[in-house]
This record gives sequence, C-alpha cells and structure tokens, in this order.
Amino acid sequence: MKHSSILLLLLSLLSFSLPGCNKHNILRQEREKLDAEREAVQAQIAELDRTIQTMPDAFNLVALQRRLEEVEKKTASVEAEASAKMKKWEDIEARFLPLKKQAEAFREKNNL
Amino acid sequence: MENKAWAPILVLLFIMSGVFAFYYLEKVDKANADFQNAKLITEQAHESLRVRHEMLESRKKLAADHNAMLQKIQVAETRQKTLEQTQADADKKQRSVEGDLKYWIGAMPSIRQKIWQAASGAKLGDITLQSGKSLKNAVIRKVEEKSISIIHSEGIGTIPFDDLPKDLIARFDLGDNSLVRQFEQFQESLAEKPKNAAPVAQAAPATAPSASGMSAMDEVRFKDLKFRQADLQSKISASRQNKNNWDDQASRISSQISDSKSRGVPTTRLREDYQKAQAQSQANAAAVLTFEAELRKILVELDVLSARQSR
Repeated sequence: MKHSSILLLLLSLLSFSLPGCNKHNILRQEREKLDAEREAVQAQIAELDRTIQTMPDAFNLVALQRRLEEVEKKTASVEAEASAKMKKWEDIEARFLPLKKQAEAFREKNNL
Repeated sequence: MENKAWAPILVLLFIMSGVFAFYYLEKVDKANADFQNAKLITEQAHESLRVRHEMLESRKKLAADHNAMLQKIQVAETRQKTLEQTQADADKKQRSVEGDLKYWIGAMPSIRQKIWQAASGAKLGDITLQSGKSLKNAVIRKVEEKSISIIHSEGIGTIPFDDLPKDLIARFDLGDNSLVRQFEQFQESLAEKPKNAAPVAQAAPATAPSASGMSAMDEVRFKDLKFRQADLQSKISASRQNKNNWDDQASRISSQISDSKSRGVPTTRLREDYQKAQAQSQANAAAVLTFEAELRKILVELDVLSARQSR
C-alpha cells in the first residue's frame, strides 16, 4: 500500500512534468527553425548587398548629371562660337573671292 | 507507523514540485523568451530583405537613368566634336582668306608698278577724254597714282585719272576704285572691331533694411527665447518619438504574450518587459507635457516682446 502510493505520486508528478519538457523542446525546435530561416534570409541580404554595391547610386547619378550639364554647356558655347565664326568667314570669303578673281585676271591680262 | 512514513513522502513531493515549478517557470519561460526574440529578429530580417528588394528596384531605375544619361553625354560629346571640326574649318577659312589677302596686299602694288613702268612710251593713238577733249597720237610718258602724263600732237599734258577713258583707268588700275585700294579697304574692314556694347553691370542692391527696432537687451532676450523655443520643440519631438517607440514595443510584447498564452507557456519575462515599456512610455508622455508647458511660457514671453516691438 505504501509503495504503491509513492509510485502513484511519482507517476502523477511525471505526468505533469512531461508537458513542460515537451513545451521546452517544441520552443527550442521552433527557435532553431527560425534561426535557420533567418540565416537563409541573411544570406539573401548579403547577396543583394553585393549586387546593389555594383550598381550606380544616386551620387553617381548626380555626378553624371553635372557632367552632362557641363558637356551641354560647353557644346552650346562651342556651337554658338563655331557657327558665328563660320558665318563670319564665309561672308568675308564671299566678299573677298570676286576681288581676288579680278586681281588674278588683271595679273594674267598683263602677263605677270 | 504509517503516519511517520507519509512525512518523507510529502517532503519528497514538495521537493519534486519545487523542481518542476522551477523548471517550468525558468527554463520554459527562458525558452519562450528566446523563441519570441528569435521570431522578432527573423521578422526584422524579412523586413530588411524587403527593404533590400526595394533598394534593388530603385537602383535598377537609377541604372536605367544612368545609362540614358551616359548616352546623352555621348551624343553631346559627338556633337561637340562635330562643332570643333566646324570651328577648325572656320579657322582654316580664316587663315586662307587672311593669307590670300596678305599676298595680294603685298603683290598688287608691285604688279601695278611693273605695268606702269612698262607702259612708258606706249602708243595710245587717238583718245577721247571723259571731258570730251580728243588727243591725237597720244603716247604715254609716265603713269602715276592719280594721273597719266601723255605726249600728244598738241604737246605734253598730265591727265587726271577721272578724266581718262575708262579702259585706261582699268588697264593701269588707277583711282579710288583701283584693286590696290579695294584690297586696302578690305583689310581695313577686317581690322574694324565689331560693335559690342557690353551692358554695364548693375550696381549691387542697397544693403538690407536695418533694424528690428528692439533694444539691445530685448534683442538678446528675444534670441535666447528663440533658441529655447527651438530646443524645446526638438525635445518634444524626440520625446514623442520615444513614446511612440515604447508604445510600439509594448504592443509588440503584448502580442507576444498573447501568442505565448495560446501556446500555454509562462510569460513572466514578457510581462516584465511589457511593464518596463509601459513605464518608459508614460515617462516620455510626462516629459512631453512638461516641455509643452515650458514652451507655452516661452511663447507668451515672445508675444510680449513682439507686442513691445510693434509699439
């Protein structure tokens, strides 16, 4: 009677303890799953970071924008200058050529 | 005898219950806290991954803009090279015209001089001047810039170029319309500078209107109050932000507690964290109230100073 009572008590305690152990294990397993998931996500993040680093950022774009503005500004300046200069010397040449032809004719006529 | 035997059994029962309670409350509670923490970190990692994906999309757009801009630069540079070639052609044309002009400026007088020298003694026969006068058996004696000396049947005469027949004027390149003169005029026209009346720079605007009209002391006080106002506003903003952060934290822990309860695990640690978060939130709310009260006082003082200034 005495031994059976003790055994009964121990068994009832064990039956209370087991769910606790089980919960502990379940939580540990779920945490391990989460850890594995997190590692996978972090690997993806690292891969994305590497990809992102090779791509141009906003600073590159700003620098390029400045370069474009400079080139366009210079082009506009050269365009104005070049076209004005070309027009000027084409006009001068157009006025000069008849005079030059007259002078050449004058020289040829006089056999010089 | 049987009563004596029950005592150790009860002691053992208490010890085992204690061990169980410790195990359950400590170990499982800790495991639950670790699990919730791992869950939170994993959620943050997912959020971080989502942000990275967004960043990647944004960078892809930037890369597209980058390439478009590079193409624009290439087009502009090509255009620039074409224009530089045009400029080089213009320079070439300039050198060509200037070189020819220089040659003719130098050569034309000597050519004309040779023609004039060779003309001495040339027989012109009978000529009629522009004035209508006729000269018989005319022979050239000497040719000069503005006249020709001629020997004719009636003697010797110097005929000014404007009275000579047009063919003689052209033959000896005389007068104001001579080629030599035209080359000189051409050179003079090139030497003239284009009229470019540069606009005179506008004078700088007058200095800013002075003076708030406050006394020096009021001005110092006004500046001090403004500094304090800005300081308090930033403190209020920071405290509100902190309060919101702690509220978020409390809300997150509350959901973790609910989750843990549904699992049937203890939530001792989580409840402690929840209470801490709530306490921090309340402390920040109290700080916001204190700062706002101070700010109201400062605003009143500023109003008084402004009213004094307007008077």
